[in-house]
Amino acid sequence: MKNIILSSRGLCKSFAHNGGQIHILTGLDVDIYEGDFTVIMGASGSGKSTTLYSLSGMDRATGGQVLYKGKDIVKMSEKELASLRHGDFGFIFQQMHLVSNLTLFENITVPGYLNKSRTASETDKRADELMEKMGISHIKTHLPGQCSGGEQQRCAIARAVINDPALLFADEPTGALNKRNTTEVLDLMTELNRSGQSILMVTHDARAACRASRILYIEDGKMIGSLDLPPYEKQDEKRREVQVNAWLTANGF
Amino acid sequence: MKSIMKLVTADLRTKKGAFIGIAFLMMLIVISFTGTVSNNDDLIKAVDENFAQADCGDLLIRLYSDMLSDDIRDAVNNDPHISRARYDSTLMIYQRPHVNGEEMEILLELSEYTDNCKVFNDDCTAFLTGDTALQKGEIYLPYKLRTLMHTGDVITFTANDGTEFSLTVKGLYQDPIFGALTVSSNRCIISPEDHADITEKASHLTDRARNILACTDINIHTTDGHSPYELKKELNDKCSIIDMSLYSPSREELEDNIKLFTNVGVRIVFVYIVLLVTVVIIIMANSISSNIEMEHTDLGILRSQGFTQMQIRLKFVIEYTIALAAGAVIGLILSYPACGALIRLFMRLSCTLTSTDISIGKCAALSLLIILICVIFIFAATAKISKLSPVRAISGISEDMYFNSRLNIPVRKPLPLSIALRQITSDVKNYAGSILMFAILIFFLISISVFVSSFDTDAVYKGMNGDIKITNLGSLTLSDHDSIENVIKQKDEGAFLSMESSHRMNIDGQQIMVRAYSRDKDLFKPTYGRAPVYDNEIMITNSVSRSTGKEIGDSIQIKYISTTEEFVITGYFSTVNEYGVMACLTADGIKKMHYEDISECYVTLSDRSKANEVINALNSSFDMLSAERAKENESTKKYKKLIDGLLDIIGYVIYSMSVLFASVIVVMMTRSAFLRERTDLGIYKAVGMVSSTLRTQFAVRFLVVAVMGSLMGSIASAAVTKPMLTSMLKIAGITEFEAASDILTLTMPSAIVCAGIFAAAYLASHKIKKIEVRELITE
Repeated sequence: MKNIILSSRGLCKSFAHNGGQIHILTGLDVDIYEGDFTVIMGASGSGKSTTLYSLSGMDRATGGQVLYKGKDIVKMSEKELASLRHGDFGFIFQQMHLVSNLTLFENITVPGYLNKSRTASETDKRADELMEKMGISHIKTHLPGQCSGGEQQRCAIARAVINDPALLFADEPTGALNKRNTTEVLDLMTELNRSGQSILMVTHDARAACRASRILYIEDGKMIGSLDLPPYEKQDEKRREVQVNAWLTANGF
Repeated sequence: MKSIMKLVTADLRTKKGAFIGIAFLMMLIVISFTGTVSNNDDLIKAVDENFAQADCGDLLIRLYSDMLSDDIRDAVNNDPHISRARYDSTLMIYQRPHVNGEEMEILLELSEYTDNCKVFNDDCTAFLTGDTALQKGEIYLPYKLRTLMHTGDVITFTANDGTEFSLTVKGLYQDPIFGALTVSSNRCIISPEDHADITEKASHLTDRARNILACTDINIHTTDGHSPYELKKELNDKCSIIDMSLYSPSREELEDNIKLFTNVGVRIVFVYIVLLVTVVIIIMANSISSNIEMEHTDLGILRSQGFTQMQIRLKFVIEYTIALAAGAVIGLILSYPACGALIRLFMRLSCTLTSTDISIGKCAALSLLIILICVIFIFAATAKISKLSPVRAISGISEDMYFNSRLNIPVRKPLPLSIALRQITSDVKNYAGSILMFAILIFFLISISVFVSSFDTDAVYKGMNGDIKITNLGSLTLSDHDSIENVIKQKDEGAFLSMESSHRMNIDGQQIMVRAYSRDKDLFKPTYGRAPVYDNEIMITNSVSRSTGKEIGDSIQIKYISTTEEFVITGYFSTVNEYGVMACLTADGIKKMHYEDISECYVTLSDRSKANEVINALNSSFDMLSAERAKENESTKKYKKLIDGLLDIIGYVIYSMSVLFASVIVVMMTRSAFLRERTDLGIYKAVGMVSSTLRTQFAVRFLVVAVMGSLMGSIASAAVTKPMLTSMLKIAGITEFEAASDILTLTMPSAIVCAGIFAAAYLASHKIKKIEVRELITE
């Protein structure tokens, strides 16, 4: 029996637009399990990214609950949310979003320094380890602008996990990468998941979704189906792709 | 052009903040110079009108009426270079008057009421119309005496024969010629009846005691184009009128005395405006640079749509010119009340009621000049648009605004400080401009603080002083110096004696006051050249140089009675005394002219408790002198207090304007940084930073910039303030400005500006709270 790490009940998100309201999420119920590599898929405009941001507390839902460790994220103060972001959650963006005038090493260590459970030197050591693991230790003093997209995204992953988050959120992490870099990033995320890291990823790329242990399909702000998969193995990739594509097609993707 | 104007309109609508900031700064600049320039123009206009109404000639010669012989009248009346001469009688009261029974330490002059007399209303904001004639026993005081005496006060003095005259103050009038605070004369107006009565009781030069002496002011109008200085020489050659005169200022010299403080004000404001315009140019260059970086895609699109780089640059020029012009117009409008307040303030010094008109044409032209200068810099600042590639811009490829630098400060704990330092070091070019702006502001504020706290009003009313005043009872000379000082030192070893010997002497045909000092020979410090050291050297004022045509290195002839000597001019000095017409010799130099009578003599004690002992010793040892405790002249004391108060007000106004200016700059810079760093701020929030930490980082960053600017400004101030202020104040006779060097004066401006900038940056960064991490989402 898996433990639920994060769940939402009746999650709603609306935006004001031209004097009216656009309802993106209309009562989303979802459970995310500990240790899973969960992927949210859906057509463009289905609300998958909004779901990710609402669940992670990056964006405040307009209704419903998001429960993490028994607390409702929706009702948290800015300070509590900030603590959640640098302590319990990690986040990877599609456009990497590294601070442009910090070196890769500094981009990774800044959230680390916010974590009071580690000293600065322990954070530096952990950052070095992560950079080594991500294959970017040779460019640690480079600014983001001096690195390739893949290198930047690997740095963003290292930044996201510097504080050993309970749950790692990823919003289309391969969306801005070429094929080779996409594979490298997905391999890293799979590796992280194998080591016990819970991941919740949004993607519209079926190939990326194949890395998941569970796929949720969202349409018009509601979850309409889920698919559980066995742990990812490289040799099973083709077979998983076929299975996932068939499931997605059945859901109207 | 229409398409460019469409772009301009859109930018003005969407980027209001930057343009409002520029307009606001321009408005402050325009208010600053409009007030000062208008005040100066209004004063010049009022002085011209007043001099015309008072029928003031090109040359004013005052001499004792006893000396006004028929020969002199004939010489004046028949001189071909004199078109007209008017003879006015003035009574000089050589006796301290009693006011309501109390002796007052001032000297008064009395002139007869005429219809030209302009009498102030109760609050001195206008002149009374209707009949203002004085009745017997009434007196009008000049405006500058308003703080010493009031309406209803009774002034009494006695003639030599013991006749007591009693005059009741009826009000204040505007003395158009001697009224300024910088002129020591206190000319009052009395009724023709009183004037006749007092004249009848006046002493004569032959009398031993002279309580009242009648003088004649000869107002001379020269024929067109004839120099009053030349005329003085010519008249003196004919009848020695200048040799006999008490003083003989030209109209130009009289006017300069009235305009002294506004002239100093104009100089200070000129420097202030130059510095502020420099700051505005830097902030505009920064703003344009940021705009180009942030809008490179939009600008690339414009290039791809056929706009030339010159058209895009023109768009920036038009936008900023509109902002500057709007600020100038608002500044001119707001100058009306500001100018009125400033004019009232300066009236206390010039004692001349002026209109509160704005010199709209001149100020508009000045605004236009500033805008034109700015336009040149705006055009230069947009040069990088020519390097903009439409393809690269549209593809989102831009030169990163940050660069890897060895200066980069590592990001460590505490994060707000290290991130703040990193922002500065990774964008040095941008922040260097900011540091320079703060340096300029701090430099000016320190200079103003130094000016206000160090301005020595004693230096304006330059004269000898000390703890004990020695009055010459007839035969005291410079040669007595050592014997008197020996007596003083027996009572107070550290005390010393200062003597001044002064007399009018004929210098190159003109009667000029010549002074020499036994000790304070450097009382007047040279503005150029050096003070006289040897007995054949002389230092003169610029006025003397102008009227004699002699310069440093030239020889000049001095005649006194039967002695004629040649002196070499070693330097120039400035003074407000004697209408700026004066010369200084060494003590040996004046002795060489066979003159060494003492006009002023003071003892400065090292131990003031020994004053009575020293006074008694002097009075019992020497018959030719009378020693008493020195008292400061009441009117001079009041004037000094007034000037000090005014300086404080001017200092506070400039301070407030500068802090406001700095705050606007900080708000603009914060806004610009906020726009540039919006994404980075979102990222920081996404990784767990709270708004308050990011705001602190913002404020710390500008604090660091301000501190660096303060250091630069302080260093510049240490090097430049003193010579700069000295140069500005030469006109006021202050040739060696003693700049204050106390820690508070030097650090207070920096502390105030740094604290203000920290607060302004923190407040201006409130928008960080509104940044949502959601903005990073790519749907």
